[in-house]
Amino acid sequence: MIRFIGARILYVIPTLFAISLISYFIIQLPPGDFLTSQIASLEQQGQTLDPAYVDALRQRYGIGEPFWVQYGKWMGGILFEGDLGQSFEYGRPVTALIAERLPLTLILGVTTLIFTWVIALTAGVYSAVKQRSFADYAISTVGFIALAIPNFLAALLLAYAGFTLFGASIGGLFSPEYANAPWSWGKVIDLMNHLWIPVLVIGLAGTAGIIRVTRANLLDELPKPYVVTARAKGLPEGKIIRKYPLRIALNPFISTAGWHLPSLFDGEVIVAQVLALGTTGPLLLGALKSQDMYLAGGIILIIAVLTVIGTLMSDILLAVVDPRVRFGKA
Amino acid sequence: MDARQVPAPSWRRPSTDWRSDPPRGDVIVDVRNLHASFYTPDAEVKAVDDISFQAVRGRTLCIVGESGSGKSATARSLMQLIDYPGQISEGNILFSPGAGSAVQDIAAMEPTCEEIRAIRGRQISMIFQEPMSSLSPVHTIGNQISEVLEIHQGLKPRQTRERVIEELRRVGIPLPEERIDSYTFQLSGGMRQRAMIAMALIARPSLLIADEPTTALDVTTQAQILDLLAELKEQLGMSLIFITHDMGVVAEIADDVAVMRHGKIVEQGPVDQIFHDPQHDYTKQLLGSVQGGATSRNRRAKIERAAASPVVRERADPAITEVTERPLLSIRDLRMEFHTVAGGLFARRSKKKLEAVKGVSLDIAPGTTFGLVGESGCGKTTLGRCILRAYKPTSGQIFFDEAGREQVDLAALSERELKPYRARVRMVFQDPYGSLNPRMTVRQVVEEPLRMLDGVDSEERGERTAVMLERVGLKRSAMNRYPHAFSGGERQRIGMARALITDPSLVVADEAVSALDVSVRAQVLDLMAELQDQLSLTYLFISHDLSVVERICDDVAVMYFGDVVEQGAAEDVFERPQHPYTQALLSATPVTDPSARGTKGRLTYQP
Amino acid sequence: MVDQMNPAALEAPPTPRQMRKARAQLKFLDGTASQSQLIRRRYKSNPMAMFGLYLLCLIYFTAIFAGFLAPHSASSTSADHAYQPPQAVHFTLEDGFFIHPTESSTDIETLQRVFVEDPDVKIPLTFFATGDEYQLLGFIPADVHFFGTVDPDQRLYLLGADRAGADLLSLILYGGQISLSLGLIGVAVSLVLGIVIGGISGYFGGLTDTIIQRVIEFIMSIPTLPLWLGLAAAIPPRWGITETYFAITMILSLLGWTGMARVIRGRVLQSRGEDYILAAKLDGASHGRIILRHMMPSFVSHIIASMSLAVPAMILAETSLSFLGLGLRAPAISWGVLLQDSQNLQVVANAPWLLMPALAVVLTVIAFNFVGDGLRDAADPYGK
Repeated sequence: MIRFIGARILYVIPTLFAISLISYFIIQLPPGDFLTSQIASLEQQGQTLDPAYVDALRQRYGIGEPFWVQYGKWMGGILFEGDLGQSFEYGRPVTALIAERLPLTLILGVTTLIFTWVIALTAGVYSAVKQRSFADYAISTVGFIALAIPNFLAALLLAYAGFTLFGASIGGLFSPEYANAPWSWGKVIDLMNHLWIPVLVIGLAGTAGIIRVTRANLLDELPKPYVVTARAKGLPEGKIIRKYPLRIALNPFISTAGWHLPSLFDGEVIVAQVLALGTTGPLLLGALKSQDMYLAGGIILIIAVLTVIGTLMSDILLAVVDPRVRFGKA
Repeated sequence: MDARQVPAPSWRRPSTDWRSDPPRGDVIVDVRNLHASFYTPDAEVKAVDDISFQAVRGRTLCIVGESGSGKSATARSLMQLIDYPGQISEGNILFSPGAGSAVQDIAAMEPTCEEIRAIRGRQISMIFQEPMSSLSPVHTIGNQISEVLEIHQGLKPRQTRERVIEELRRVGIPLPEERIDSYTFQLSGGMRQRAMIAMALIARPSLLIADEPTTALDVTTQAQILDLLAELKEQLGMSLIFITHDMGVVAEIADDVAVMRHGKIVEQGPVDQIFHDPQHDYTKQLLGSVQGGATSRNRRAKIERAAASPVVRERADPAITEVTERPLLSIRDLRMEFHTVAGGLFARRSKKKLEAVKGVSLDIAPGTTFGLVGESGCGKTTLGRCILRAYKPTSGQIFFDEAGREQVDLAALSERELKPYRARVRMVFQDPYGSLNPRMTVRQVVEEPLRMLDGVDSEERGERTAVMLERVGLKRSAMNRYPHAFSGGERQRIGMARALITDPSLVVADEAVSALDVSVRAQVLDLMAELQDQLSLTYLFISHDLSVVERICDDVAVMYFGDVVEQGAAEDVFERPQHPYTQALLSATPVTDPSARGTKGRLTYQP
Repeated sequence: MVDQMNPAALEAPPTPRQMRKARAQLKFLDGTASQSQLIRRRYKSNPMAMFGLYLLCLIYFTAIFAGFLAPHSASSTSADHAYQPPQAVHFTLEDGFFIHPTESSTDIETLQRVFVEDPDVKIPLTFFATGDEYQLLGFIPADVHFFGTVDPDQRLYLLGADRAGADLLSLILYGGQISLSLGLIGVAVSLVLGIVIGGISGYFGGLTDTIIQRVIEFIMSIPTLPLWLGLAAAIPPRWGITETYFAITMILSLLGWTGMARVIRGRVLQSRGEDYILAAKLDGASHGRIILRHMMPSFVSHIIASMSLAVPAMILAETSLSFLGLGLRAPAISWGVLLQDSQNLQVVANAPWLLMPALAVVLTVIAFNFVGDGLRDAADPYGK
């Protein structure tokens, strides 16, 4: 078990390296060196910059030096000083900007994950056990439609419905009175009141997908001989399904849970934009549009690292749950 | 086609008139006019069609039949375990666990009701064919066994641990204190089946139903499991219903026999009566497959010669087989190693070397049938594939010496040089379903090897295919059909046609009849013998089934863990085995006559 | 089945259609039907899949003949009709089809545009109306439209107008050309990458396979959208429609091939172990022949199935990118570009018809999903 976890963690290192490379590649992508273009745009707005400051920046980011040197400086800053660089647009460190918004993103992500799993598993299991029933068809139909609706459309429709029904914007994660207030029970409750809409929207397509997978997996497992064995012991049906086929049908599901994380972040970017949430998504979008590349690269890096950690956790969880993985037999 | 759904009958409580005619006291389960059907959207398929039989307390009833005979559906009906969309539609299953105890009609119970659940696992238990897939891979065997006690006696796992260990010891699992926490994939096939038996017996049921429990096992393991079941039955005073397709197993274990075909019982009676005085043709056919039949050409000839002049035989015999004929194939010190790489890019890489064949030498005389026997994993299939050059052997020589051609070492040839010999050495596969490409017509399948021969145009290919199909007993019109339109036996004939179309001299038949039902198996073996005569073929017959090998082979080699431990003429090996493994193997082969039961002591082989 | 109630049916000689049907039926009974015929038959017996196929044909038909079907060209606008709501088409026997013109004014209090129909004036409509010029199939100059106003200078807004007063129906039809073709081209590129990389991975196995699998897992583990956004943001704004179109397609397919590669690898691995592949090897068939003749046919249908499930994902991705303003940009017209306007909730509230392009997206995605699922079910020869 420990060896398994060790090997898994070893796999993560090259992955993280590749991710950081890609993130830096994206920072580098916009044509020309970004500092010059930033200075140009700042000067256009009538601001002047201290040439000494510009030189210091040039030095710090290794402008004009080869890609690897620049990457090394950037990476060094992250690893040793926790410094992701400076956002030009906001004039603040990238880390501070991300730190402000990341907790909300995580709350949103984790809530969505839990919501998705609870709904999807219940519906998927029910759908498989009551195959060809009215409920099964209904769940499948809803799932089909949910899969086909782009989540920004779902967000728009919900927002539109809220707008016409309540006459007020339902965007944001907080009511105005709590937006800048310190954390309190009232604020948490307020958050919960607002959270369900983005959770519903982001979770929609994922839920539909997982329902289909769960249903298919369980339908594959239900006719297996070990289910008959369990029945031959005299176990009641409900317990049979919970203890045996469901347990096994969940394995491929746990192992791919890591891959659901990226789609959560994808959904978050779009939905947060439409619903004007204070999460990292709109920040990333804004940064990309204004070519504030250190901010954009930093966010991409953080999101990707979180995903990799999530995948790692789902792998380890799978090994805990499934002895075949633990003993290298699957 | 009519797509109307055939309505499954709503649950019907069978008539209660059995109360006026209760079963005899010594009968544990009395099945009367049982019908069970599967309801598909197109039709109602009758799996069990009006059968009646009685299982007597303390005795073993064997239900024997081929695939599709309804024997498994019958067994499962007894516990209301027929898979959806199957259902018992009519009849009574009268069950009384002990003499004088109340009689219950299982057929009248709903498949998920409380009463039947109280019977399952407690009064009637079942063991299945595939212990690997019949046990959950993610729960320990201890967990799965103690569950039975939890359900029926309300005990907590902690309280049952000792009893489970005791039960594992009883079924002969070594180190039960450790094995109780094992998962199924950590046990061997035989151990898994023992665990399954422990699970079935821990609540001390009065009736055990065994559904082909030894079919997936090697012959030596099968013998151990059969002995164990017989012993436990005595110890615990159970009754046993044993489902099998193998008359040999029936001869070993049955007290009473019911022969099933197409959902009906064609004949039933005590085992001696069935074996010595069978009434029904089908029973005779099944028995024929065990008690003799086709014999190879050379051995037939030898037997005839021996009958004609017993004196001449002594001197003439060696001259025929060894001096006048050079071997068609001689293998010298053949080795085949596989390297499996465990671990990945960064984890510690452990290269494992698996020696599947460890320096084998063999001679196969032209026109004979050479049997290669051994249990699963002994390397017989690998050896066969080396000869076919599906694998490139690690070292050794395979001399192929056809009359009128130069002798070559197949092991040393490159792919290109090998090409002409691909037409000379051909293969017949075990699985009649997986070995035919479902996307190609029979013609395309059979003529494929002709494409590698130069100068055979499309028309000639078609003609030769047609002739070959007729030769293997199929119609010409089969050419344009796809494999899915054929039965298992017919598919195996197509496989034969593909092997023989290039007019080869050596055919490697790897378990070629193992996947077939016994009645079909006899037909295919007859066909093989007939073609051998007509086309002067040499067969390398690879099989785990000693009875088939004994019947059709001239020479035999016995493989054990990559080594040939014994080889020689078939009658020598089978009648006077020298090597202890061969002796153990033969002692494990089921008897063919129930009256000979117990006459040959079981030998075990530990190297 | 013979109709029991109608004895005449028994006597009537079979029509050619019935004969064909009977012959086709026979094929399935005597086993001469090929796998693809069986698959087609199974596919046809699935009403959802057939519905999806018909819908898909219809959608692609409208995109191909967008110029003919659209009442206006995509570039014709009318400032007077900005945010014009959908117009109702009326019909009377003497006048045929007609619409009433609208008069727009701005409400002083809400500052919103208000459109008032003038019920006294009728603008006659006709099939095959003459209107804006367009190139049919991209090269045949034409000016006949399937349906439009008799007077080419009048305007018709069946689905309302956008900010610039362009006809939304026409925009959706033209936008389909880009969105739908982008999906197909993107999947085609993914497919080539997937076949080559997945094929290599599955056929050679060993270390090659391990490395490729790691790379695929890595790509799958990074959130795609931020990556797309990052790459798309780097497309220079001065690039033309065509360059941007291809750049976006490349970005989408470069990150979208992984699923395809996994499917193909799995199939290759599976069929490599089949007995009939060993049989083909022993029959003396060459590597090329084994791959093309013996292996490929067994997974072509699976590839088509996963392709038809990948196209909608691609279309959704493009729509999302463009919607966020980092994909295609006006003057290019795609469904995502059309939806950009609706990012603003206020606009949606006042002009909900601007969400109509999303309906086109949803219909397309559903149709593709039905087709893909149907194909996947039908392709499994011995499946449930």
